[in-house]
Amino acid sequence: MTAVVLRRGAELLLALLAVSVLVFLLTSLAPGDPAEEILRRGGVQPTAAGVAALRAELGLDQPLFTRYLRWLGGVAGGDLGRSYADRSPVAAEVFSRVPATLRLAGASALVAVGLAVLASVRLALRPRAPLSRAIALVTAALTGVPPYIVGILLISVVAVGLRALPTGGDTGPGAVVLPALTLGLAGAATLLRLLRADLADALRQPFVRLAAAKGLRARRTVLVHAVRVAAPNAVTAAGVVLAELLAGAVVVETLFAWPGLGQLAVTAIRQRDVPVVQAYVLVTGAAIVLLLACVELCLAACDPRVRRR
Amino acid sequence: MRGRARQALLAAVVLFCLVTPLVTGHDPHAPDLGRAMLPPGGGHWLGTDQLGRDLLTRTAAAGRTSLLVALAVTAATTALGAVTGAAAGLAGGVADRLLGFAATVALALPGLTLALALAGVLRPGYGTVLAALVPLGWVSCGLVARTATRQAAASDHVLAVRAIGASRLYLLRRTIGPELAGPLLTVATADFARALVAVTSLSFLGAGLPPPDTDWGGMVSEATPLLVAAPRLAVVPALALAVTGLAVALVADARRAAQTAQAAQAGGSR
Repeated sequence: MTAVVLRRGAELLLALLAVSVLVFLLTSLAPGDPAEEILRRGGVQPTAAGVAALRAELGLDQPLFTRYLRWLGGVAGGDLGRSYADRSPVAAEVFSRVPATLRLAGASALVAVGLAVLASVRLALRPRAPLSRAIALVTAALTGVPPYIVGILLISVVAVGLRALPTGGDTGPGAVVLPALTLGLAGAATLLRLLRADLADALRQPFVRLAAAKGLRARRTVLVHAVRVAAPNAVTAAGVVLAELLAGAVVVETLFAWPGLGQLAVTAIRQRDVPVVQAYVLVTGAAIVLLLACVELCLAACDPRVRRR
Repeated sequence: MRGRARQALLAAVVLFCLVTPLVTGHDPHAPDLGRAMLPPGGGHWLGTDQLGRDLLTRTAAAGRTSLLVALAVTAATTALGAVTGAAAGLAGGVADRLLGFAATVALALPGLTLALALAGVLRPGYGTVLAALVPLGWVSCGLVARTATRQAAASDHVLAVRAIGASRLYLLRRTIGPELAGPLLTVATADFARALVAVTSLSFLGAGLPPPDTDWGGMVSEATPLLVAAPRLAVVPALALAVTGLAVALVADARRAAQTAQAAQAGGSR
């Protein structure tokens, strides 16, 4: 167990470092000089002397590696830099957006896990029933149709056509329904694909087949025996899908004007506000890496097969 | 739905995108403010948008762009994945380790988030979309190519050719290469579905193609503020993308099912 924790911890640290390096390099990839950019946005015509002074102030005249270390030190202390647009600290803005995104991701996860678990059991019990075929077709289709398209169609029918729910914004308890449904459906499709394969594998296990051969009813075979075998893989799959939901939230937040992290990032992209984009990638990336690591540790704690690997 | 019907649906979409601009005779990009927001009817079958551009023509033109960019992304990821995967499967060594590392990183990193950040920071353009989607996109294809190469390399007829003294390059070109075509086509179809989603998502988020060029995601994004006043402006491109995505995903699904069945049959006959 300790070995697993240590190895995963090292891998986690490496992945976090990789994210931080990529995020840091974003500033160097951006065309133009950040100092010039800041001056121009402040309404100042950039002069050579002014740019040089600001470059020195921001530490941009230092070598790349020194800048990375300084930046990383700042990040570790909760300093995510200042916005190009209004020179305000990015960290405060980013963390004020986190609760809305978490609320959306949580509600979507409920939709995704609920739908996928129900559908996968149904598919395992009656693989050839018309409903099962329909579920399989919809699942295949949802991999090709982006979530915002599903969202647009939902908005135009439910919000514009029926006027049953708001078209967007965080305006009350009902407002989360459509965004969560949009994002949750996409997650459900991915999760169902993974669960279906796991459950099919579990149904092929000798002791599960023995249970069926003894005359155990199909419902009991699937729900009691097969589901238990598939459960650890299902937890991993749920972790992967949850990570996907966190990353995919940006699209749904933009469509539904949901005041989360993703909306902040898209506004920043339209304004080419690099520090805010950086902070978004860093926070989302770190959250995803941590989430996946947590899932794996939970599994190692309760599944003896993982520990021995 | 049968395999033929799925392919026919995809062919119909492609045909629609290519032929419609010729039939309607409108310029998809030229604004005509005097004819803005016309309802469907008259010379404009589906009406015009807020800048007076014909909705039907624009949807078709945007479709052509969406499909072409997605195709370019898929071509790049497939080529990169095939070369790395085949090298990793055949030679091992550096290529194998590179692929393993890339797979670990790609799995741990949020793909859309990184693509969005790259596309958002660089100047908008076709090159940027490729640069945002190819670096993480080729990994799935690489893994498939590696597995298929290893399997092919282990089979008896490849061993026989090897025993004669064929070089690795000859093996790859004449005996292993042809066996990679099937699995690569399968993964490429699935990757195309994913690329279409990714490309249009970037445009929807404002990090895609520069104006006046647009794809379906860009059209939906432009029309979202007018969703209550003129839902057709968003719904038409959304439906076009939904039908296309559906067709591609279904073709990919059928392709994968056929591949799995073929593999099971080959495994059984041995």
